[in-house]
Amino acid sequence: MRITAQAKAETLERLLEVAKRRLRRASDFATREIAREAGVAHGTLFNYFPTKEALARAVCERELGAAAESFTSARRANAGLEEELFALIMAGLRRLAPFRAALGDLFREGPAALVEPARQLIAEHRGETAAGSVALHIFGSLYLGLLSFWSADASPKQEETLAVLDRSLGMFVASLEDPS
Amino acid sequence: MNPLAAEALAALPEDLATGGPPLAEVVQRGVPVGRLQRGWILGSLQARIALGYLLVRLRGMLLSGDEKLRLRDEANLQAAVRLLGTMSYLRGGMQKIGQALANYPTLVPDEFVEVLGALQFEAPPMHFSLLREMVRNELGGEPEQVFASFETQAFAAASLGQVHRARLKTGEEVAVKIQYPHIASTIRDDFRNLSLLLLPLRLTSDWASTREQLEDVREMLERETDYCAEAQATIQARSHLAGLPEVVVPRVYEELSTARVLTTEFLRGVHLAEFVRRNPAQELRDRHARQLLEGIFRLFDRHGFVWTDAHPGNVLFLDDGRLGLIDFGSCRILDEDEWRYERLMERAFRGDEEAYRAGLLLGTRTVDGSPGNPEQLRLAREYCEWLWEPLRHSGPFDLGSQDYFPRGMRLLEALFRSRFTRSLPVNTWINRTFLGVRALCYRLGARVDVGAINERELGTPPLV
Repeated sequence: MRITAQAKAETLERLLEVAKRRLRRASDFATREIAREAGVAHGTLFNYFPTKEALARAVCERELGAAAESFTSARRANAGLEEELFALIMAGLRRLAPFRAALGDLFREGPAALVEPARQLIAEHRGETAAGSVALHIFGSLYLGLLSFWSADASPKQEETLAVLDRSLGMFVASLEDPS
Repeated sequence: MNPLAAEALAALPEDLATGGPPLAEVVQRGVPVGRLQRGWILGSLQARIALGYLLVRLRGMLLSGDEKLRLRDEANLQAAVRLLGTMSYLRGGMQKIGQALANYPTLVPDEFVEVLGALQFEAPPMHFSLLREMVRNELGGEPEQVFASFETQAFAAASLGQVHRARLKTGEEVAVKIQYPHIASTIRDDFRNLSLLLLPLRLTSDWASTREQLEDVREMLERETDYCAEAQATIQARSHLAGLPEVVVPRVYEELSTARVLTTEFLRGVHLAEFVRRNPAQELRDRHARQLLEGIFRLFDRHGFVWTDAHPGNVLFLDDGRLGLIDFGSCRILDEDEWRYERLMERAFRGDEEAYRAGLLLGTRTVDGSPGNPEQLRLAREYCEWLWEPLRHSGPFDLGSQDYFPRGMRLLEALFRSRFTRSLPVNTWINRTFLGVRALCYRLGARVDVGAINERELGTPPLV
């Protein structure tokens, strides 16, 4: 039996939905359970996602994509690059908040769903040259560091994360200035 | 010499032993071996600086005269500069500590006071996205949801955050003060590090008094980072001053206030500099100075409430002729012992020589039975006399005269220069208040019957 593209998309959607719900508690995030609940064989799940971590990342990427969209639709006029990056990242953290504890070391590089809109912001504020691969690599690392910090942040309402993000973005944006 | 100090001294690098000054090297290199290393946690830069400072200090004891002074000064200065590099990374925190310690010139080495005093941290503003997160965290909604309108630009900087104008859904105009995230614990950490740096002062004989004062600064800073405490102090002050219709303390909106956000009534008026620039009539100057003194004396004499932030930034000359007092982040209420001390000084003010002597000994923290240091007692008495001069004067006293206020400043300078470190902690805050008020009146060039106000406020039995 041939599986249509539509059926494939529907399965993918079901897997991501179940995974998103189960990612709220690390102990619930078991591939066997996710596959069962999504109505596919355990092995089939791995046709879509090679590892459990890849599935978790895909959930996060999708949330971050939605966050980037909501950020874009609510951009504040006259905001500087630092503030815009801050707002973009915070929009993402808000979407990821239910899974905060499970995120620790999930990502190995900056999530594309966030790095691309960041690239666009940098290009818009500082020109295409500034938005080169080095800057994006630094941004990605900064984001991963933040995510890991946030995941383990024990301060009330994770306010320490806000301070760290504000400070890091200050340094990052300063590093984009043309030294000449 | 105590064995621990002897060990540290023995472990000193050779170049220091020969009087060479490279403190930087001491700080950079490893630490001496032995018990010190095992006993101390030396992971942080601050701890290494403290150790470097301590070692230089110990070595300095063995050197004579100028060389010793030079070493000490260098160590102090370098340590202070380095400390700043590590501490000032978050806006506000260092400024607060600097301000607080500047009130204790006797407490820290001269070089610290200089470096700390020179700090002018104009807090870089929080952008609106960060602000939005703080409002959301603290008040549970977006600024636009919680308030009918919210200005995105701050209208004033506060040392720990910034103030925005907003309008409540019920129509009232308010000032919303928002604290920079995580600043409270940053100040706590910074203060721990600073205390560590001051460790060498333990070698001085006045350490117990110094420690008591340091603890007092720490408590004060801690209170200032808690806007809940500030809200309560503002509510108290407002209620204490309710009987003075010409003095306004803004109303607090408790339902919109937390430890990090403080929402109060917005007062429309100008600060001292702008008020004076408009060249107001003498009568108006006198009137505002009278309002200020009535407010301060009522708070202090009747309620034991010390408003230590009596500086131009916190006094508003309102468009309708009243006076606004804002920012009660730095206040304290006298405890029983402090009340007793103040009552003693009140009797001294009225001419009771025995109470005067006892009060001065208590105020300078002179131990029981000791005759005290005559020079310190003389200066303290002279300072009290200066403070009481306008209170004893009959009729309006010219607080703006070129003689009165500058004379007090010179006296205070002499007190600081004499470097007597023993003092009742509360004296620092009372001084700050009454000096602040005198400075304001001096700049106003005002003439006020201070004695009459004082008698009126003292005449009523204390209400606490």
